[in-house]
Amino acid sequence: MSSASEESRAHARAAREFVSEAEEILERMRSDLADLADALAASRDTDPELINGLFRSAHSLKGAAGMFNLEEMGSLAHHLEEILDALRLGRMPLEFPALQLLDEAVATAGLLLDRLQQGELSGDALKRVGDLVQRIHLAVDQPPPAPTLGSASVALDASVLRALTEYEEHRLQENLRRGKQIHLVEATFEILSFERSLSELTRAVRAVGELISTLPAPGEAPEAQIRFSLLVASDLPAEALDSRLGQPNLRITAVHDPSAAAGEPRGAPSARPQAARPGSAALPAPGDAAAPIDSLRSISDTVRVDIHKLDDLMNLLGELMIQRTVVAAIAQRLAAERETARIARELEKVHQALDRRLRDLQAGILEVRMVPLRQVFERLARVVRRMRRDTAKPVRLEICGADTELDKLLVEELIDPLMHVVRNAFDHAIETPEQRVAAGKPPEGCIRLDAFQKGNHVVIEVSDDGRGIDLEAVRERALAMGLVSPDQALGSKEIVDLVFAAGLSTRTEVTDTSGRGVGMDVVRTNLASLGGVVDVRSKPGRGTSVSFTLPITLAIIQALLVRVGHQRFALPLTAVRETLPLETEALQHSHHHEILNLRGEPLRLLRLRQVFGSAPSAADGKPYVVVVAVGDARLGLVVDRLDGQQDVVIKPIRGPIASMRGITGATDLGDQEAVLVLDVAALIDDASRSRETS
Amino acid sequence: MSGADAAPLDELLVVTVCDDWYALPVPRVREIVRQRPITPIPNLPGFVLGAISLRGEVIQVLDLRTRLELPAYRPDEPSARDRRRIVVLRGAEGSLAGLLVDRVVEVWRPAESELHPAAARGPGSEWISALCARGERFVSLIDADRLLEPSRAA
Repeated sequence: MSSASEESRAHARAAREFVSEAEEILERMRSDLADLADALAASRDTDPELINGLFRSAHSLKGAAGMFNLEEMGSLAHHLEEILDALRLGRMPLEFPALQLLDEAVATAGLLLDRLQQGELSGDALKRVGDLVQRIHLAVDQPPPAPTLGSASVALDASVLRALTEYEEHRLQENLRRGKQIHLVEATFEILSFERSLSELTRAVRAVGELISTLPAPGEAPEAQIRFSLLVASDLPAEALDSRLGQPNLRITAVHDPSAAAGEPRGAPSARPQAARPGSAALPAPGDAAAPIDSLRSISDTVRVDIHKLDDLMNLLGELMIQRTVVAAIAQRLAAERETARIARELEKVHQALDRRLRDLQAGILEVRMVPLRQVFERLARVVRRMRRDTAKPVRLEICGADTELDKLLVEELIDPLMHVVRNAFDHAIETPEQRVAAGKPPEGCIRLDAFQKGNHVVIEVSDDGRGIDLEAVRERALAMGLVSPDQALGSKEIVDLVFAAGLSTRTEVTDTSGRGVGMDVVRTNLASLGGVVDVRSKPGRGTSVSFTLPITLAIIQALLVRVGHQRFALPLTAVRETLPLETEALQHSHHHEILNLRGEPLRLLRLRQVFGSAPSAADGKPYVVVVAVGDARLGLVVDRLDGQQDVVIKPIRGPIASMRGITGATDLGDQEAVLVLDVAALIDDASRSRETS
Repeated sequence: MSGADAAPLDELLVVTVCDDWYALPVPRVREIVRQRPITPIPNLPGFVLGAISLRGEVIQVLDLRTRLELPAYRPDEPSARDRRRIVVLRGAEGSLAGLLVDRVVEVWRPAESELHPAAARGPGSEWISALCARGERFVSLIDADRLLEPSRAA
């Protein structure tokens, strides 16, 4: 008996884990379905990406259900996927009956979820799933609608038609049905730069129509060139398309013009969907046949990889990149001599091709390291749920941008700081329901997690609608701790910054979940070690928002190389705002510091030579200022020379000394010499600290 | 792990620093490389010379002279410039450190009878775990594990 109840408890636990993820997926599907219904109601052309997005959502739901061993939900998600696949490939007409079925399936999934949350699946819910699955079978097994216009009406080479995937074939059909013009755009690019040119062309095509397929063009291309054929659907006739794309070296052929007569077969091979589908009723329905194989695949098509193996790959890649620079250097040396100049050109070509592939490889590995923030957000959601249960304080958690991706290692490091901030918000920031009502707010508090990408950074915001930071209390506390002097004028921004000062906490009581003396200073230090920054904004009575800004990945950075004396340093390019020669006229001394007048704004200067004690080298010319910034804080680093930009792999400096202030690591630029990578955040921090103490 | 108990079984790498003989346990030696340019790292204790890059790995190099409180290198010291080597040590938990020595002499396995407790306390004696008699000479056995222990920057 006890084992049975244990089992049901374990089941309930798994169910809880699943619920928050599924909730989000279903929410996304509801919103996509609503968009789809709107488009249909207005008889607008539907964006194929809507169906594709829904299909991906259903697939995620199925995957999650499989992971947690939730059979009914898995089966429902699988059948949802079936309908969507049929719609996607045009086997089923995208009309209201299909939409209704989808709506119902999503609603039923919601019901299942609700029951799971309560810990049991009752008979009526199971029956509803069974009924629905039956109806989905019937609907999906309908013979596909006969194409209104055969692909045969398209003046395309049979080899091109055969090369289309089933999905592309369907998109072609769909565009024919909508009476679009179909064009074959043939483009010729230089091999060395075709990726960029192709993506430019693709963008241009998408602005004026739908890109059905990109195919390598048959036939010989001139040397060092490559040809592509793009199958494009658009409202524009060929000449108009040509002028809109506005690129040279394009040849556009109209392969289907709806105004012309169409429909007679031309003896081209029939479209694949018909040929591929089992026509006989005696054959098992595709859904049934695919089910066991499909569900196996959905579990095994992801591989768990130890992050350190990826680190090893990254290291290998780093070494390859070093070798690449060596090749470039050899090519340059050869180019200097007349008799080897020709070899140099060939070598340069090899180098460029190598460079491109290495970058692809790098992007590929980096992509594997990326994980969505969903996991972290879900753990936070569980913590909030637990706190809500334990304290009976009504607080709602809103999650946005859980799909934003970040380096796996960063995600791990983020959990504690985020947890800290969320607990703080729950415990301290959000008032009791009575206080909230008295302040004219809804009794239920709200904590919002928001993640989004901003350039090469990811921003994660935790905001609440609580009482805001009590500026007076922080001020008093800072006074008591001697962090500020009584006559010091403090703006609200400075006071909010004080929240980060070590040990400053305005709360005296300690709760179970927060306030154990771990303050915002710890959060900031942890973040800084990852190259991230924390910022706090607060409005009294309105709420507080803490934002974390982090680099997307730690593994490879673009760096600006500078030289001080004989020593080289690398600065992360993301922190570099600009560089300029140091004009002594613009230099001023103020309170022991050098200040540069930068377009009317004062810029504090830091001579790296002083920080790093390099001996002056004899042939120094005019020094340069590298303006670096983290958040709002800026600093001008004075260096002797700028050595250009380069991608560098940051390595830890291994040895008995673990912490090196101002240095994030080192890199090798190909000459077997360690070059220090500077920690800009720490340099700025130290500079501003010395301002406070002076 | 350190100390005289485990040491007699190990082969020793005999090196010289300031004309004194020292030994490092061979199982702790990962490789020996020629001296190469060492990138200085600011604001670190004097016994850290800086870092070298070894096939993409960046490793701190310790100055054995400073650590053992022996006279420092003079920039013009001619004695054995091209005999200097960096001995890369590997700790039990995978920790690494380079050690700059004047000269690598030989690999030698002492007999148990040749092993003596470390000499009385003196400058730098905390890094010496035993004294070995190599013929006429005494060789100080360096406590490699202790040397590799993490310490905090000042």
